Amino acid sequence: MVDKNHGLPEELLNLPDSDFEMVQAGEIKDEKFKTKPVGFFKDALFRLRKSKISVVSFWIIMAIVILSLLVPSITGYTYTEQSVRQKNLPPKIPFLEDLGIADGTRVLTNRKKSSLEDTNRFPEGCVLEIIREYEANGVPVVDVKIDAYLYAGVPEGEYHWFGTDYLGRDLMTRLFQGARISLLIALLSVVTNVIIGVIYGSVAGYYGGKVDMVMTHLAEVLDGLPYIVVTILFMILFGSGMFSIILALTVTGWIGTARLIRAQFYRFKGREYVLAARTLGTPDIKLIFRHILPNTVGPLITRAMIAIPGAIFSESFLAYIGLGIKPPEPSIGVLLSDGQDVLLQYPYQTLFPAILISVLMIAFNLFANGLRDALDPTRRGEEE
Amino acid sequence: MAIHPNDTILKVDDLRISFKVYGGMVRAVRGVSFDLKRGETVAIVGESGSGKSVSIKAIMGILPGNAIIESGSIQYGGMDLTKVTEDDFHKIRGKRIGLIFQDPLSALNPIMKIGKQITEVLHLTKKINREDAKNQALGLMRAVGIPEAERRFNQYPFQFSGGMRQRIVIAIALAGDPEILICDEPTTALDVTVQAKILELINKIKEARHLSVIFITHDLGVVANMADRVNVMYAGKIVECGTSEEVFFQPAHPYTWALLSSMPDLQTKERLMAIPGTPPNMIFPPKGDAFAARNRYAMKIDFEREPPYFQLSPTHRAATWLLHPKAPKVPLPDVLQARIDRMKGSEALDG
Amino acid sequence: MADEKYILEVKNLCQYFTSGRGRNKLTVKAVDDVSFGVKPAETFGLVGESGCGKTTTGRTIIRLYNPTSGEVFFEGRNVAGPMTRELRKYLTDNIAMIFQDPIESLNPRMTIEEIVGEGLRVRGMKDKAEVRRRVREMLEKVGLTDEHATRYPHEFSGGQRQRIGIARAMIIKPKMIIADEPVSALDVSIQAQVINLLNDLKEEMGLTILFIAHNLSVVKYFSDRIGVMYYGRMVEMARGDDLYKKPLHPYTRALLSAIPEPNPITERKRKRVDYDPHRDHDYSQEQPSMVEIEPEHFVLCSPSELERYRKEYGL
Repeated sequence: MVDKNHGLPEELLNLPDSDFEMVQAGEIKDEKFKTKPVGFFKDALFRLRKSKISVVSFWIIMAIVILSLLVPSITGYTYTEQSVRQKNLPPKIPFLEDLGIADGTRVLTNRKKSSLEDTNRFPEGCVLEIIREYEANGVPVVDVKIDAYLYAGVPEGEYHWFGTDYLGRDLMTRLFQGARISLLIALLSVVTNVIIGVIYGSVAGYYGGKVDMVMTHLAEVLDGLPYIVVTILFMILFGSGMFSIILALTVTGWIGTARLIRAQFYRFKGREYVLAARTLGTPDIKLIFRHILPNTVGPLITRAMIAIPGAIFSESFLAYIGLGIKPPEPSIGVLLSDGQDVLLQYPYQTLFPAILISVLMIAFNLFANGLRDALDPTRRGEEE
Repeated sequence: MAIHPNDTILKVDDLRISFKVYGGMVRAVRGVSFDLKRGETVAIVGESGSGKSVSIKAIMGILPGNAIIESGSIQYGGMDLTKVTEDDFHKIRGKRIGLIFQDPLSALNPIMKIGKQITEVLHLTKKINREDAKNQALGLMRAVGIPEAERRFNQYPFQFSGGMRQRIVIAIALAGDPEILICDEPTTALDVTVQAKILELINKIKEARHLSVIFITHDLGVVANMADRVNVMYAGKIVECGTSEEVFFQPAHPYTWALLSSMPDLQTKERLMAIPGTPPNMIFPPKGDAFAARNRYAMKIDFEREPPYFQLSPTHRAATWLLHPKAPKVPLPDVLQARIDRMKGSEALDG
Repeated sequence: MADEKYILEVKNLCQYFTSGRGRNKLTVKAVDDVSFGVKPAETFGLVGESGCGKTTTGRTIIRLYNPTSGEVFFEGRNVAGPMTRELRKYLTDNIAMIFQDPIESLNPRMTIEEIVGEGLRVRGMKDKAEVRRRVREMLEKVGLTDEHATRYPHEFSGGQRQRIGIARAMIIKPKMIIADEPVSALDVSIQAQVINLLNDLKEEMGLTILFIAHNLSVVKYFSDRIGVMYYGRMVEMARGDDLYKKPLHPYTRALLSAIPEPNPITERKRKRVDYDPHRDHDYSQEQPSMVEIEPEHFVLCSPSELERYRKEYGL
């Protein structure tokens, strides 16, 4: 059988007696927390910061917002200031011009060679290079590379970074002014959509039953209306302006949000903690806003973030088909639409708005992705 | 095949497994050793997070990707399962070792007929034609007590009740003709009356097929019903092991005491002996005895030094300093002593 | 009218759930003609397997659902009638509920202080310091400390969360608690903590408890009287010891025989009884009804079954 020392080695048998004093006679309490309390949004922010893509996207968005606020007032031009003489100028940017990019030059084709002598038309020094000489109908003609700024009589030291449009307005000023308006339209329409959607979806989802049925069908009918027709109707009624466009973007835009919120309500209203609050006598309004709605914040913010580039795009689309904002107000869509008319001659007029809208869309989408991950409650506390 | 009652078929030796997580390593299994003899049922009892499921996942070679086997070995059929490659594991898993999960619904493919799920295993494990496979599958379904096997062969999992689903899972586990059956809390998700039937079925199959069974559970009632030998796990270690009688009637570790007296049975009237506090965070495993902080009988040394195993009988050992010759003699808590007396009394009554 | 001796009396309560419309309409009788009474300061246990309607019964009493028919009296007042503001306040002031899932039942976005203090704030307690004081006092009662008040639920273990759930229910000082499977989601070693805590609070505050669980051992330990439910119906109701020693209804017997006891001696030779309503009852001739076979021991049976039961136990 087993010996009475339970097969222990000698060393363990000779431990000091003091080791064997009972030390926990009293009540044993719960362990103390080793970590600091972390609130939900603080936790989400922490995780958002860890995602490099989200951080970069965020700063890109911020940069565009700041530029759209600052640029129109520091270029020295206004977005309405016209100058027929200075129309369709190519981009000219200090320093870069020395490298041969954006140096304000343009190639004129098919000019009578004799006209080059006319200093009224070709001011001195504006002809930089004769690219080709040939004859057309017996008249000697040339293709020339000219300094478009001298050619247009722009005073020395005046720059149009992104060039000018067909009315000689500074494109950079107009682009950032347009971005400002586009962002404003997007923001206002998304906020309106969210507010309407949250209220509509909350009521439908919380009360359920017949209320829900009627509200859902109503939304479906609205969703079925032809969007363009409704938009044109608004333009006729309220004139083509920001108000009409926001209205057009709102008329069906909230339905998606309402559906999302309704689904979230269905998911959460049967949760035990909501039931628990009900058994405590918590009133409906508090149940909705304090217990159920906070759970929808994550998907909601994500959705709103994705909706912003969506709204910018819709606005551009409306502008593109001629239902845009009233001239001379620019928006990214208006600029794209204008630029497209002269795409072959002056591609830069389309290029800059196109780059801006692309960067905005990508940045918003990536940022929304990061936000979704950060606000996902199942990943709560993963990195504490 | 001749059955040698004392033939060890599987031996786990000083197994240590950790998980990589944010914030460090979770020391899930910290030096677990046990063996399984041919034809016996060994139970591993413990609470969630005690490392019992992780240990058997290591045996099945289905540890998640962030798990690291730090040391130890699992001897089976002349191999060390901790070193077997994934390809070789295919020859062991399902064929020589069968597994029954806790949740039968997630263990079954929801869009595949259950007959197909059983025959698929048969095709994988042996060369067999379709006719034979179907017949064998029907035989298995009858063996696990599924009525109208012919008709149910072509049904989908959602058409079965929880108990029937677990029977199907058992049939699938048996399809490969294993010699070891590992049951991971197979009845936790089921109602008591269904649980009773499933336990009976597992016992019956074990007898009929001379299986060796490892049974994971947190329910001591189920252990008493199933096990020949019991391993009690806490915080990644086996704190006490012995035959059923030894663990239930002569428990030595304070954690086993607490487990045995913390749940009421049908005759309990007195106040329950609750275990205070909460299990330790295994990212920072405590120094000394992991149970010390919740132990009423903790001594100074419990907080300083891990207790070794004290051999109480050839089959019974426990890791607690209370068994040291110099430790004060602590009698079993009254509640527990009364209960053990009552249990033994039931033997006298029946005898 | 309501019986004077009961604080809560449930009479012929039915709760049917319907789904689908027209030809696909499906009615589930979750609770079907259930009657029982709970005396003041008593613990009444409702036991049964998943889907037997025990949880629905509890939730219907506190009006999380609107009952299909039947009456529920609390202190003599029918609380199963049309819902009014005043009735809701009456109900929620007097009856509180403890839920099963310690993770699900706490709002993850609120701190423990906000969760536990909600009942007070809903009742119009504006004084923040007073709310805080009462919350801390309650937390201490359930074995938690000041330090825990500013934490969020996900930082707690299962047992602690369940204690928070109990604190939330108790802070409004209800006369009655409906505890719906309060321990079944917890680890074995933690269950005893929660059971002991409930027992202490019951003694201290003279609480009446409706205890709902599937584990008969726990229910029997905790309750004075027990009702056994099967598929929406109450099949047997008795004092705990009577139910254990003299189970009459075949389902009760099956349930008792199925509970594994932590005793290897009895477990190895236990005979299990099966229950199959089609085999065990013949209700083609006679309809079953609830009969009081001995004081406070009711069983659902037909006259011939009653005869048989009486003979079996010499009642």
